[in-house]
Amino acid sequence: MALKMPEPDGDVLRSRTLIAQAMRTIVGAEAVIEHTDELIAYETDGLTAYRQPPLLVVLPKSTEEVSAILGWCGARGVRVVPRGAGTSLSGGALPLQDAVLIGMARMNRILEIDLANRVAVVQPGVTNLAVTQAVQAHGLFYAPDPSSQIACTIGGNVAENSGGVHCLKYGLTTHNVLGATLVLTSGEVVALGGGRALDGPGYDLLGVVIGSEGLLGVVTEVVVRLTPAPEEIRAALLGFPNVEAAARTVTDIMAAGIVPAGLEMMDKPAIHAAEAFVNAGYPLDAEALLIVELDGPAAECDQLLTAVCAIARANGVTTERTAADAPERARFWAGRKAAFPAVGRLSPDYYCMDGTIPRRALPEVLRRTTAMSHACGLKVANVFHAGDGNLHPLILYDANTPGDLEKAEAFGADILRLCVEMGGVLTGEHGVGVEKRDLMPVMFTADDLEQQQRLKQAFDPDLLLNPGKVFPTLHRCAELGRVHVHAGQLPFPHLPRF
Amino acid sequence: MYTPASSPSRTCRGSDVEALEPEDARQAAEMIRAAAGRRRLRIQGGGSKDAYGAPAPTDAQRLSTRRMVGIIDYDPQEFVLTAGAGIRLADVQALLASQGQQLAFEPPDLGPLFGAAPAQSTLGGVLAANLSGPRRILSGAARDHLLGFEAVSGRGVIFKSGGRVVKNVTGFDLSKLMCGAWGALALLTTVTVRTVATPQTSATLRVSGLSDDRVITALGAALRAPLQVSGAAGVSGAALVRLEGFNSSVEARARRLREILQPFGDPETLDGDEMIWPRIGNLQVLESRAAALWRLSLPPARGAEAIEALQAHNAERLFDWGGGLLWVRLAADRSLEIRAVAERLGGHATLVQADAPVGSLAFHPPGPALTALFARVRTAFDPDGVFVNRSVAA
Repeated sequence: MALKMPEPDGDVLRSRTLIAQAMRTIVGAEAVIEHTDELIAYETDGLTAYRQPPLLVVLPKSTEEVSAILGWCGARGVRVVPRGAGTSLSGGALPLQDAVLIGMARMNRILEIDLANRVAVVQPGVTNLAVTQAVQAHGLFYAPDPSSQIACTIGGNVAENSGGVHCLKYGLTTHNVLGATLVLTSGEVVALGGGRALDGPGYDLLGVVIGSEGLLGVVTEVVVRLTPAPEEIRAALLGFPNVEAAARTVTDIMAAGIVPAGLEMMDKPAIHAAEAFVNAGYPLDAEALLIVELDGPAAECDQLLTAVCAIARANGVTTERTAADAPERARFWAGRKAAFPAVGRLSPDYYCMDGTIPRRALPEVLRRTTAMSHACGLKVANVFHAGDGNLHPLILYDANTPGDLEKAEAFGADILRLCVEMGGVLTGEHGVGVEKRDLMPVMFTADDLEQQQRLKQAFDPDLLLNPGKVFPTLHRCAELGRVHVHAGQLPFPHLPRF
Repeated sequence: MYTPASSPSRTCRGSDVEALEPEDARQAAEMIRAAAGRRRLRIQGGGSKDAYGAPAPTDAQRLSTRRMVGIIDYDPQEFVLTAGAGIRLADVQALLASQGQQLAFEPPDLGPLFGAAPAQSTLGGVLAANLSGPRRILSGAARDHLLGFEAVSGRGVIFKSGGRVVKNVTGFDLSKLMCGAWGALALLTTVTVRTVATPQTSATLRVSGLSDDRVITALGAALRAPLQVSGAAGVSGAALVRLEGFNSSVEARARRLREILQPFGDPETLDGDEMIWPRIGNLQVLESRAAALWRLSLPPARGAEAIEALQAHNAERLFDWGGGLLWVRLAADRSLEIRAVAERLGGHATLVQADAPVGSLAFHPPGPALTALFARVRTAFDPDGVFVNRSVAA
């Protein structure tokens, strides 16, 4: 599917050799990649439907090098695309033909663990999981835990405001980052946020940069908050005869003042796919399944687990199991964490959506999604971060069947429009990127988007940084991007996705 | 102390022009467009923070949110409330309390500190000032609870950002930018905030007779443990640590906390601790008005060092946020020294209350690159400077 990106700048394309020479002067010859064969490795990210090798790749090792790269490119009107691990599911790191790609992989050091202030100072190329691994001996962890955490980087997490299963209780990236060093396209370096303090002077630009998808600057250092690891973790697996009962249970748990560490839902097609794949022991008669994880002192876990089960019984639970130990808890999660690849086994291709809705709208959204599914003849399985209303419908299709792809796209767009109609939003955690940029007008007016673009220009006046992302381009009709999965092969098949 | 005229609604001295009181964003947009290039506007909610930062008198016309007070949507089961930005915070809190809910960021009421009546603050006002109470260390600041909003820019254009759900990465997170901008970028007209269930119970342990250094160390020890500490303050040589939640959980955590605090002295359980934390958040524990009031935001472990460096052992002071927030009464004319100490320790300082107006000098000047960026951000929202800019020394 053709994706319209900004027209390449012919002068820049013709100056490739010169640009490469300048970059080598800044970072050294071994840190510039210009061979076509090697550039292929960077041509896409987690959204593999779109591919474009970059002009060239630069791999800086310091804030100073990033500043020199951006300063050089900024002064000459050369576009730049930043990239972390390249696990974005929305095409946030998709290269442009005429853009220098800055890969942050070599800036992968944990600079300091400051136990007294309960923070770690890290370079952006450090993986999410590495932060927790570095501090767990001290009884601490870094709370945001996106499913790709073994590979995704802190810099990418900042760009996407990543969450994870536990964000219901512990917050998103924006709640767990205190400071960041940002390099602007002018080459200027600014320290945003409070650093190791909770706030900084002036406007909260850190809050804006987190989740800005690499459009405002390149982050070269991040101060993350460390959280004491909970004493105890418990989980319950709850099966229900209908979606409404499961949804009511979610609402009742939250209404009781219980904030689970994780609260996940799967519908019947997702349960069956997962069970067939990993034999997690899921009840096949259930129409909806909940996994509830609680953490805290043992006394609290005991009390709340009892309360959760009582709420589930009041709502007609048909399967009720609590994990006796950590291995059993891991089995409860195994099916949920394998849901994407499990669904991938049912169909040659699937297409993953990512909307958020108010919890109260869940039964209606699932009902109407099912109706749409019947109308277009494509099956759908739903997994759902139920606690915070983040829905991942997986639409099954076969790209080799003529018309199927277009049907899947139309179906996906309708689901996202439904999310917005019900008071929700287009993307809960995957980001807009190139994937959903053209749906932005469904949620925002022209004035809303213009204000956001004016802010972009305060950081990047010549629109050189990550162009073609987040904002709809003019004179195009709506066109949806997609997380395409063919033959069960997710991009980065070794990465869990849930 | 510099305290504006007695009634908050008449604090706009030197202005004979009647206040603008739009009923909605559309009216506000017309008013702002009409003012552009002719006069400046000073956004005001309840007026409780008119004297915060001892602003210079202005002849700007007051643009009040007092008629935008409706509850637009509140579904307790969704833990989300949407209301006009001018709604009284006290009204919001009463409504939430009737459903067993509250705002987790524990917004303080600083009005009485400046001689205003209590409970005048508006929801939009506490958000615009990003005012957050002791629970910030656990639950985040005001900025973490504004899910979305509608506002009018200095161009007189209505725009919105965010949404009504917690998990949302659609577009730039402008909610964060609105919090702490003190109305310099846009007029908030409608705000959507996250609410939480009120904890079943709370318990506070206190260890008294400590040096500042020991207070900070004790608070740090409590915060390092898996106790979900929701308040960590230092008042008059005592370390106070609060736990909140379900009864069984608070009981278990209090036992553990007692062990952790024991090396610092015998911890006592405070009766009626629910009365103490608002007094800390509202700064009522600072009784004298002997000198100007400074707010230092610091890496928490360095709170006591600041007192040491400033030779402020006799100054009235209060540590909150485990030492990361230091309120201290020191002369306003020591600002260069205070700012230098705050910066050296990795923080910044704000002059919150002073004898005489100080204008934008109250706020910590950022470095040159950041100052220029702030100015460009402001231009992106308010190119002609229609709104009075109180907070950013840019």
